[in-house]
Amino acid sequence: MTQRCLASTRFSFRLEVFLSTRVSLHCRAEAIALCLILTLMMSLSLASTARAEGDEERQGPRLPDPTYLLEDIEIIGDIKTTRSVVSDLLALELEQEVNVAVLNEARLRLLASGLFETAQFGLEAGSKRGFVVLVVTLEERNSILLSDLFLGSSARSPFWGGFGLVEGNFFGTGHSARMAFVASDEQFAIELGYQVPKLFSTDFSFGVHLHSSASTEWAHPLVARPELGREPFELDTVRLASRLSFGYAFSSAFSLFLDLRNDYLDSSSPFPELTHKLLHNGQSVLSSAILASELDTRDDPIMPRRGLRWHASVEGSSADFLSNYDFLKLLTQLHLAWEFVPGHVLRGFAMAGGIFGDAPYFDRFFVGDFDDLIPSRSLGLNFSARAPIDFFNSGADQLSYETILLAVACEYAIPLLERIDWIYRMEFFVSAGLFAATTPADERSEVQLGLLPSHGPRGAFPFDLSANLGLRVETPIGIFGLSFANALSLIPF
Amino acid sequence: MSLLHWNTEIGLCKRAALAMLVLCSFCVAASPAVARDSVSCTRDDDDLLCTVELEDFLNEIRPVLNNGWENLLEFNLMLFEVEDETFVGHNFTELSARCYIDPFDDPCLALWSGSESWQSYEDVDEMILGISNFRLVSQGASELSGRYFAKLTVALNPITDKQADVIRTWLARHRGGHMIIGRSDASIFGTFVSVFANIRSGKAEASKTIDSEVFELP
Repeated sequence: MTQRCLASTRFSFRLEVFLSTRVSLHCRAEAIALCLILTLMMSLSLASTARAEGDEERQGPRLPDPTYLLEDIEIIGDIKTTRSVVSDLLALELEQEVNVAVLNEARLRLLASGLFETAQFGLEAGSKRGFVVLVVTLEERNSILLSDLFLGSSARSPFWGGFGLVEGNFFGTGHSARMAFVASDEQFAIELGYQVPKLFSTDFSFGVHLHSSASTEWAHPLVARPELGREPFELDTVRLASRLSFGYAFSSAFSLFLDLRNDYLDSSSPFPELTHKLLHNGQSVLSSAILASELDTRDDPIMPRRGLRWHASVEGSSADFLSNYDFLKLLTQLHLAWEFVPGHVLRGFAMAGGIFGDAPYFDRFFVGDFDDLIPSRSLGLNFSARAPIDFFNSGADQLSYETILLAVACEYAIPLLERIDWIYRMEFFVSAGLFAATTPADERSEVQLGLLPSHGPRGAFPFDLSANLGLRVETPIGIFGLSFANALSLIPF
Repeated sequence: MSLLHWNTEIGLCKRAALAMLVLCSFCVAASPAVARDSVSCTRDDDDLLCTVELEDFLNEIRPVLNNGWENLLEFNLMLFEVEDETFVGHNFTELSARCYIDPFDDPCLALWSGSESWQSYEDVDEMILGISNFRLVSQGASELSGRYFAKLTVALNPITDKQADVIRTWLARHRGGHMIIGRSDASIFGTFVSVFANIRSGKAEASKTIDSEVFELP
């Protein structure tokens, strides 16, 4: 009976999800504000629906749930999390009217922080009739987790590797800190991040992210040069970047972010006249502001069964204000997941982006990030020179860092294992997609950066097929994927 | 049969009700017995009767049962063939139990899922005695023949699927999701690992699994 009840509430939830999807698909750059307002209204609706679902765990008769006045809160457990963090998460006031239903919401908030393995609640009689003491027994979870794992091989870089770690409860503050690095024989990158999920116990968040890298990209002349022919040369870049992120959560699912970014760049090119459209030679500064909205109702970011993620962002940099670069970057992404019959999940992905102006190459859309058949970047660095296959002879094998991108993909997943020892879930997936990218001819550089170019005809909007299949495994230390694309990235060609 | 296949069947059966048994759960008070947690199953016409004794476990969690909170106990009984441990079916029921801190109210109440009313007890000890012996009745046993064993898992206040969903959704905002561009899982060996990995339904404050003796159905 309970299962049927839950299914029906999920169904009504899904209807609203599809409604907001339709609106987001019609968002255009000039209507971003309107879309944000609509999305905000819908996400608030989604959030209230989700709360209603949480309340409606079971139907039928319930045990009496009398209301008491909260006299005190006692926290038990050998935990490093500070009492103030626990109190903020509980969000309960002394002498507030409470019952099990109200306190269960507080328990969910504690568990949702990701800091605790269990949160056991109990009630003890207070000093006066009608008053209670809430006894909270907490057991912390391991908060140090592997966040990234990089490993690959290519003709250009025989080996590259690295990893990332996240401490999700930094010194018991509930803040998270992240460190990640990746290196090869000629490139490296390191990133540090610090995130405050609830700034001063409000729904504001704050984060700071630092990035340092030394990269070398091969530049392949598209036209033979008298002094060079078509011999590739190196474009070396040192990048020191910082990003401050301010967020506000309107609900559990919808947030707005304002990010301020500042990059110090030092590049060295033996032929700056060939690479100036990709990056200013010598020292330069990039400052930009990014406004982003994020609606995420998925039940899982990597192996979702239902829900959607819609992201839209606008980034602007002006050469008139603390920057040597002048560009506007628009981006929207949509992820959908639908468990159409129990155990069978369909997922969809769509993305559109455009860059107008002279954005540095690493901020452009790199084809490897959207084509499963060639390695993607790791911490912003490209370690491979393999070009897309170009199944349709449209010139996709000449794509690398582009300014306009459209991508769609769908995926079918079948869960194989559930809840056994160290495997929480395992699923088999098969996916296919199409992507199209280009850079207008007048903005195109005279070199192709990163990937080996072919010298055949290039259409106005080259497009290609992407496909993948493999396994994903969710374990206590993270989610791991073993796929055809992973295997390809290990083959050095 | 491989482990992988075994679990696949569990997952499918749970969701799609592929089990041979028609799952029908109701509880019948059984006679008190010597405290020793056990499960024993017999056939009664078309039904499979599994008698459960849980006094040890319930005494272990006695402080929780007496903590003034409404506690949920989930009972999941799975039936397997002995030879290759093939999953045959399962039966599920749950119990809400609460001992109230206010002495002017009924001290302890217990409500079985599917019941129209709760049972009242004088104190936690009487409640433990009252709920520690019960029978799970599963229909469809007439279609079974061979040697079987049952596995009972009892979980105290497990995180439900619904709660896990809510928790995952809340966690989404803490991971700087707005910086993720693309499909976010394209790199080698699943470059994305996160706190999400540790959130799963079924995690309980206490749990116990009991295997029955092997029994034969003609």
